[in-house]
Amino acid sequence: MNKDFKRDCVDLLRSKYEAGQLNRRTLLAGLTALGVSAVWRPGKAGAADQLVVVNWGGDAIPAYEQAFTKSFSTATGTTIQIDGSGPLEGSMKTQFESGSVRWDVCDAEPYSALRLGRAGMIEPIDYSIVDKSKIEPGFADEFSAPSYFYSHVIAYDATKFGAKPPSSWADFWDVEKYPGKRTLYKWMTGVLEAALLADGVDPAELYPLDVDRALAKIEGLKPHVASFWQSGAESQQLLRDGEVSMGFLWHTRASLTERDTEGDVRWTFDQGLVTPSGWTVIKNNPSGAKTAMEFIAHCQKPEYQVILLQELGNGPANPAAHALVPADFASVDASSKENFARQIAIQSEWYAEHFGGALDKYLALIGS
Amino acid sequence: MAQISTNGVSKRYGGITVLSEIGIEINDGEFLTLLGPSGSGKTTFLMILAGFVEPSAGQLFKNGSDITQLPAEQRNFGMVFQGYALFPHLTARQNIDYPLRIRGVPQDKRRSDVERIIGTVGLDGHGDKKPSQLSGGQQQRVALARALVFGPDLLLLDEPLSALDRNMREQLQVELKRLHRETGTTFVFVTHDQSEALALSDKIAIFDQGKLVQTGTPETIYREPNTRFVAEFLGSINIVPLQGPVQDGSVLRGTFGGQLLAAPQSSDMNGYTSCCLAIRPEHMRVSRDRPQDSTNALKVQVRDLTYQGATTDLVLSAADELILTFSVPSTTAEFQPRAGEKIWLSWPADKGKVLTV
Amino acid sequence: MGSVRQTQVLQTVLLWTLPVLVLPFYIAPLLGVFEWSLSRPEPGLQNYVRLVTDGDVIAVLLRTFRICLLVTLISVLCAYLLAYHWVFGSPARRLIMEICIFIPFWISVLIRAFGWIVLLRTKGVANDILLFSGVISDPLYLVRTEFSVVLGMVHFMVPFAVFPLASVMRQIDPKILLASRGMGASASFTFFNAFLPLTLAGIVAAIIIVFVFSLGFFITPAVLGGGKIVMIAEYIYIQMFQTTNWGFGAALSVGLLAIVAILSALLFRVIRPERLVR
Repeated sequence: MNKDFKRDCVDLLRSKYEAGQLNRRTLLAGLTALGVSAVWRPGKAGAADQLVVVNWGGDAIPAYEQAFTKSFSTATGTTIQIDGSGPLEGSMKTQFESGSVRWDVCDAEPYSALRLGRAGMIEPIDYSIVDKSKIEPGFADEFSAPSYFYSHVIAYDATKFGAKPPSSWADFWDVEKYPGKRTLYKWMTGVLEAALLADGVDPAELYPLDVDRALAKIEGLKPHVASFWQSGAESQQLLRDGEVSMGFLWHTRASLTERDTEGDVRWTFDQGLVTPSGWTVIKNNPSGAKTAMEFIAHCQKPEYQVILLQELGNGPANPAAHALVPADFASVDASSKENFARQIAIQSEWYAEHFGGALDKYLALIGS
Repeated sequence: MAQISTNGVSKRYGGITVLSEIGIEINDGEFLTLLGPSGSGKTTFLMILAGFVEPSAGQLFKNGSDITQLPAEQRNFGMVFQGYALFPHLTARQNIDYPLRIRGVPQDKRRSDVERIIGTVGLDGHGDKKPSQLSGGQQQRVALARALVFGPDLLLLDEPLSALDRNMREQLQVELKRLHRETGTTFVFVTHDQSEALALSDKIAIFDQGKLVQTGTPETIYREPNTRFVAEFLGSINIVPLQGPVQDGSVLRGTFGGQLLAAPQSSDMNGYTSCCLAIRPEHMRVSRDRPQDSTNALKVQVRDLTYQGATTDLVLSAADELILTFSVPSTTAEFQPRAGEKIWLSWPADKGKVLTV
Repeated sequence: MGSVRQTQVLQTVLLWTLPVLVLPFYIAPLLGVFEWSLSRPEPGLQNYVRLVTDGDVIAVLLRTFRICLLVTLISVLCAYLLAYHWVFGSPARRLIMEICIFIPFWISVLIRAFGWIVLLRTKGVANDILLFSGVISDPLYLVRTEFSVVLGMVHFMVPFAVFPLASVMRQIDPKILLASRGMGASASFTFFNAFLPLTLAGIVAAIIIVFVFSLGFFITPAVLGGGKIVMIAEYIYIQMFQTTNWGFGAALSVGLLAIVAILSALLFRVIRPERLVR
């Protein structure tokens, strides 16, 4: 096997694994098949003398090292291990229920933290350690503290629509004005909002989401949806290869695609659906709640937040960080005042209540 | 007219010749046995007759027309395979019915034909059994019935009795003869068992190392073997080498161990410096003293005696380490040799057969 | 030097090794799953009621069965041809068949799924060839469709179907086929009246193996289905990890297990697998 292809396969495997579509055993089998098991393997977690930070893997592992963990280790002497296996709600629940929690700090969905927190599985954020004033107002949840902001945005083929670029979900749904295939997110977050906005719902009256109305709107677009993507890499590939002319993408992936295609693919924050990712601590975590909270507080430092933006494109959770953002990164800063104003915030509260039922219906629709 | 004949049939695999220049005539209604040791080419020749193996050279004729290129399925020959090759998923009746279904015979006729042949081969009451539920002999009968039911022009049998025990084999030999007589079908039977060949055949064709060495009735071949191979292969025979052969009219004379021996020989033996004398044991006799009336007699020592019931087998050694075999009736009071005893073995001169090869 | 007694002890130990391992590592967790299906989120049969009444769930089940049946049909057909050439072909052809059977067998299911994407995507090799040769003028949507899911699954399943088929074909006495020819049968008569019935046990085994195996497919439909082909295994995964509806996920697992168990029982009843082992 050609070396570059092998590396590509490893990347693919890695991203699938990190998106939670692969279990560890299948992943290792895949890596072994490529003869590269020694090159990269998911970290073994849970030793008592170290803090285990769990994120979604890939580029986020070195980025977290740069932004957060190296400086924390230097400051406290605690070694940190980053586990990229992805803190899915089911995985966190499994850890709690099994009685052997191996993860200390999880970079989880805020609504998962809410749901599990209300079931008594999550340590409430200790706001005596974590500084509420260093959090974008309104996002300091009981069971998770924002780690960064990211957005679900419209990315499009600028070679086709460059002259009159789409700027709303109504444009996204308009296949006559903007012909070509679309791609949407398989795990639904933000898609219902996009559909309702396209259907003319006032952004201020979005919640509670009218699921049936949203699904009806999605059903209308479905014949034009080439794929419901499951990993960031897949969404990039669809646009890069021209398999779709417009996509519902994470802004981080949209920005990478724009760079890769030298501007053939562009994207907009207009009507972007912005949400934080939340630092979450499972109860009975191995290093104890206090150390975990201290790590979360450590990450609030504006300088670290800016490093994460530069490395991954994730928007700072601390409003004070925006002043430090270099000019050439201002356009991808999802949480800056200017960009925030163009977007609509996703309500974790609604998801905490309704995600499961809505996802079942959504999957039934897209799979029919 | 010959129903089947072959001309110069040869078969080579790569550089190895397994069959060379076989020419044979098979008459209508004949029971022909292809006899030879394993590897002699007899089965290959049967497969060529059946059409399963294509000859490398030569032709096959059926009633005068060339069938060399005719595929097996169009030859209308029946075949009984070694190991029977019955369809394990079908009952005996369905196995027998199979060739009739191929030929699109009407249902009623099929049923009656199958029942008739089941009666002929003696399978009454076993028609609904699967092959795995039948004994070896019954399976053999099914195979025979299946090969005969459609009235083949020729029945080919590839060592059909070799897997059976002795009693069953003898019983089926009788049945085969009866079936041959009753159906009037031409049988071509392959075996390596010489007594089977003698018991069943109208004509025997002896194969050795890919060559057809002698064809004839069992009696002819037994009495007049062409070669030492044929003589030794068919029945038991004693071979005595003859030194200094001299032709004297219709008699050949030579010596062995100082004894002058004679045998009838019509053709000219000049040019041969050595030859053999072959004598069937049944023409020999033993005596304590040299018989006065006999031309041919050898002094031998009794090496071994084996009691066989009706007869006792003797192993005798003559001069030059030559071993001869002979059997005497166990009950005869006339003369009972003992081990180690030196006795005389004699035979009439006209019962010896001169073999040059 | 083992005495009879020692041999008996050894036999007993060996005989009980499997059950002793199966009990704690397989049966016990299984009972746990069963318990979940009846107790989460609250005690009762509601999870099983949903299993047979929720239209969306039934749709997933029906889609799974439809795709698995299609995959089974195509796989067994392909495998039959492969097995035939493998068993009866010339040495050169046998080697080609072995490469066809074993090489994919050794490559992970994930790598193969991505391989199909590379091959079938809009700018992939297949479309390039079709476009270049002028067969089509616009690229075809080959990947992220039910077609590509079935293709990927068939590609994975064919070797599994080859083995039972090759096994029964190897057991056929070639003289039986010769006998059929000798009696005057055409190739098709011999095939339908002798060869096919004699391989029936292998066909049934292959069908059940492929179907049961297909029911559990997860990665291939997820990667090649463009998110649109959700099958039962992925649906269970979603219940477990995405929506954390563990009780319902457990009920789905038990239901799937029951189907697999019934089909396996059928397999053992109909074909007696010990006959396939030689």
